[in-house]
Amino acid sequence: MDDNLSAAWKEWFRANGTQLLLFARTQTRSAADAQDVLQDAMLRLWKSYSTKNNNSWEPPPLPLAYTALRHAAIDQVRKNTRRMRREQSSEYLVSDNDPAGDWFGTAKLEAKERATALQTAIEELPGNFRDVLVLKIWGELTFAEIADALAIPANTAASRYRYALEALRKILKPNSL
Amino acid sequence: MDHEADNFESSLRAFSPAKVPDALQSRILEIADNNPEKGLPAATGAGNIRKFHFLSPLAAAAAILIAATGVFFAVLNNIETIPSAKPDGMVMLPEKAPFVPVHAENIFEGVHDEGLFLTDDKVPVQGVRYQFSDSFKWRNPQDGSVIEMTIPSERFFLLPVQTD
Repeated sequence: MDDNLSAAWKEWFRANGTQLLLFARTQTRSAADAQDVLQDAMLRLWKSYSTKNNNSWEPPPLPLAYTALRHAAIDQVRKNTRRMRREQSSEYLVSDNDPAGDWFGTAKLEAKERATALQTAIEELPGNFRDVLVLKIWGELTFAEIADALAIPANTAASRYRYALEALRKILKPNSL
Repeated sequence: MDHEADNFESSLRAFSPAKVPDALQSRILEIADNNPEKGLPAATGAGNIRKFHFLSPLAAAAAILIAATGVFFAVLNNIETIPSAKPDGMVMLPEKAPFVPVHAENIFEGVHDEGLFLTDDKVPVQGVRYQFSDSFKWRNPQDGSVIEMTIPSERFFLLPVQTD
């Protein structure tokens, strides 16, 4: 297909891919799963929601992309559950050695330690708090967009964000960031 | 939000999400090289629809039976209530009241295991046939005449068999 037709879509992914991958990582248990979920969600979006405008394929709105990620992650969990049940019934020894991977990109060792502490703290948050926090801070969505992405009222998104920040501050030691 | 909270938010924003691995980025950008108008591939949903071609005749027969029953009673109700047109074009009101339904009952008769079937996609399914008899009763409130009807019916279900 002509590159010009999909240029806007590709540019959209280059601009938002890191945030989308971070959200995928918060929805899955391993780096490999997160990558699968991101790829699956992007494939679905490309096939189903790309709109042709001025002879080029326009990317989907960001809240829709996060919704697609959540759905793909749910499907992934179902697949993994079936796989684990099958492997356990076959008496295979299964150990999940695939780590979650680093959520944040850092080069310096000290920064890496702080990033790991932050990742661990975010993982400890309840899922509904974590989703809103990640979408607000790193996804840079408004509360209205978060409400669209998570199918919740905007007021709920705002209150969850406030609770998530409070909880995160309690989990993290003072001045640890 | 207070100053301390603003600082905390800023310190969180200072962490950048890890970049997308090059291999994954390439795979995803390649997706956009295909024409989206060709529809979803089988793995993403559209291919999950299974067509049970061998059920088509059964479904057609059921549809014809239902339609014929409906037409029969529609005609029965209307046969004496169709307004007769007068020569001057005036429409007269019906002289007799139509039959009104007074009783309907769905009786479960039994269930039969029809064994295993394989779909066109070689997916094993368990066939279960439920048998009912549906009874209906209509009464003409004017002359007290009654119409009763009992129709045997079957519902055939194909249940997926867990194989993993």
